[in-house]
Amino acid sequence: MWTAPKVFGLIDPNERKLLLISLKQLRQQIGVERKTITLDFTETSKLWSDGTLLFLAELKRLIKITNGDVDILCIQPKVDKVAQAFKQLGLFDLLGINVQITPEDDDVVNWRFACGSQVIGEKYEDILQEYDGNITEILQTSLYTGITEAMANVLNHAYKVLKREDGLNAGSIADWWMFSKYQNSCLYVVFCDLGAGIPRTLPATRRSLWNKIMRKGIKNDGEVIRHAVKDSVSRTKKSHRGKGLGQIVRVIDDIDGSEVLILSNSGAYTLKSDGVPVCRNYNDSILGTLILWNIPLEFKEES
Amino acid sequence: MITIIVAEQFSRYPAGRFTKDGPFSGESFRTKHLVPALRGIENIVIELDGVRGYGSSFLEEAFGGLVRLGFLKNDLKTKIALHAKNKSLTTEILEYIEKAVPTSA
Repeated sequence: MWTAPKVFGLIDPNERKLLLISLKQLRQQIGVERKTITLDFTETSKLWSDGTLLFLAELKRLIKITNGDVDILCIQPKVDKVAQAFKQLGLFDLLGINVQITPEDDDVVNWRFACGSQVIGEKYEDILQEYDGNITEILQTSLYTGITEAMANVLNHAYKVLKREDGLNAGSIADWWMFSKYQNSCLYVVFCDLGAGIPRTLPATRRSLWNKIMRKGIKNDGEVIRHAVKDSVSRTKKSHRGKGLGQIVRVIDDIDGSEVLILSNSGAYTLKSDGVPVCRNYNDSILGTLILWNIPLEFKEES
Repeated sequence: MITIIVAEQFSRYPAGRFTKDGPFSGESFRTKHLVPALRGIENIVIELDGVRGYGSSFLEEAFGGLVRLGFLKNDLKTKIALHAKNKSLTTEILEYIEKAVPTSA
């Protein structure tokens, strides 16, 4: 039996701690013990975008690693909205469970999920096509660029350099997962990979920057991410590689009230369109990287 | 002169650096379209509009990669005409050509 946490969230330290402990148990039971398991979502009452995407990514990865050989059963959530969201995101279909529920709440029906293992620009349409006409062409281009650069980073950095420290010895599965939703006049786009994480890959991918960070005595992941972003943004006159992170962050340029959040291993980096970057560090690692864009958006009235 | 309309002749979804990255990478665009046209010593007009967007890894590999293959920077600037509504895109491409370092033989 695996008991899902009440809240799927990665920002609040307590919610994050409980989710990450749960995910570790999930990896142990499916990935290591490989015995039939029941996922109990009875107590789950709140799904944040970040935690939900990480959970889906972990579960899909575990199913892939085990070739679907482990039977996974499910006890449905008591909270209707959580059940609707899982249905909308394809969780029940993934587990082969027939759940008689139809997503109908306004804040659930627009949730979109996509995954892949290459740089496939067309996947942009799976989660964002419906916003055509409601977001500017500049923002569309910027989001497309940010998302596809994130996909390229997954292939060329996240999984290439080091293995994930999850004890599964799963080899290189260069997958990514992404998600979008519209809620409270905001468009949320989240992108996730389960690679080695920015702080672990930096010594191999950007050696001179890493040496500079070491000379400054920086040891925490949040500050490492901040330096990686800063270097990437200012990279116009340097090597032709390593600009992707800068393009990922610049999606929010000139969009009032927007925000980008990068979670990678134990670090967090937040940048608001009108502010200075804020770094944060947690005691636990998500064992991967998650990028979240939060963009204010008002739908145009249909004529 | 040859005209390459990226959105129609290549893809509306250019993305990624290398062919192994995905189906419509910068390396793939360079290999399938740019190099054959330039080897034919033709002037090229490239229509950049109509796609979803261009990441830096795609553009750098497609155009900066030409310099690494041995094409001369001045020749490229003379032979390639870039058409785009967004002028910063053409500036960015010219910058990649300018900054690319030829690979020594």
